[in-house]
Amino acid sequence: MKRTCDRTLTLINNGYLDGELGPAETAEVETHLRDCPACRETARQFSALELILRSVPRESPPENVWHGVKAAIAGHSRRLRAGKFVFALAAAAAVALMVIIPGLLEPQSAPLALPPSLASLSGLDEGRDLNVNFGSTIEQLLM
Amino acid sequence: MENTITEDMIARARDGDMDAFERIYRAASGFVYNVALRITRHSSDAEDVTQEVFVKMHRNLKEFRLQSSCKTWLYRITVNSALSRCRRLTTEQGAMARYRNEVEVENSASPDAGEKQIGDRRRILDAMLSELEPDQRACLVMREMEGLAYAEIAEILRVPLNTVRSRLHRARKTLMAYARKEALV
Repeated sequence: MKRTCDRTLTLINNGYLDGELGPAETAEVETHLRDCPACRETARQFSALELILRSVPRESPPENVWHGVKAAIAGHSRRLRAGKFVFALAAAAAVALMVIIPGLLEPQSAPLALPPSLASLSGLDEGRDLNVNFGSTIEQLLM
Repeated sequence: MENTITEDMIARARDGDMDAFERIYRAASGFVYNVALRITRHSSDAEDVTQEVFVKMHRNLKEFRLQSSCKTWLYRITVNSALSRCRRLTTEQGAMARYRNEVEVENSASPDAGEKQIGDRRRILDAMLSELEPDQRACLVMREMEGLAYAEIAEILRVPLNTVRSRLHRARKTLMAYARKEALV
């Protein structure tokens, strides 16, 4: 095989068949094919190969594929809506906790009535309210 | 692409119009299914790929502003999904067993002469495509069956133009050797 045959066959299989060669290379291939029966035969075989590849008619997907697509989209939308609801619920719960927790953590300053037994132990008058804070006055009182 | 997907269809589908999305599906499902079928070589895999592609497309409708970006995206997702399915086939024996089952199912249907001829061509094509690496098969399908230019294939696969050239070159060389051996050309 001549060097020009090698080059022509490479060009045939590397752009010429697909119309992807420039004008100069296309002319080079066509000139060689006019003069070389062996390369002409190979080019014919490549064309026959293309025909085989394109000979099978296109097929349509079965209708159940579209039903599957619709069902998957509907399922995704439902999950998305459920996710948004859960998020909204979580956000509402977080806001509620932010309002409630500081209130619970504030120090207790309400008046505390001592049980009668304690009042009598410390000598205080029965029935008299005493203002105390947890952790301070009450401990001194009991000591 | 067999039918045209218009920008109006995309905009309406993006706004939640399922009729518009169905028109997109009717326009594009044929080429998605055929590309997937030739790459995976199994109708059940091609059906799964087609469903997967359109579900993904629906979730990504906001990305498409132009019809051309939609077309490129569809090809890219189809090819990638089909290739990843090919890679998931653990053993070639497993793949061959499935192929034999499908052929047996096709043969048992006792088709008429026209259907038989198409069935024969399909089996020849499938046998030829099975000679190729999945990456080469993807390039060949896009070039020969979809008629895409090298530059379009390179953009879809996100590979250099020369990679497309060399994959096609190797694919045709392999197919030519097979076709000569089987006296098909």
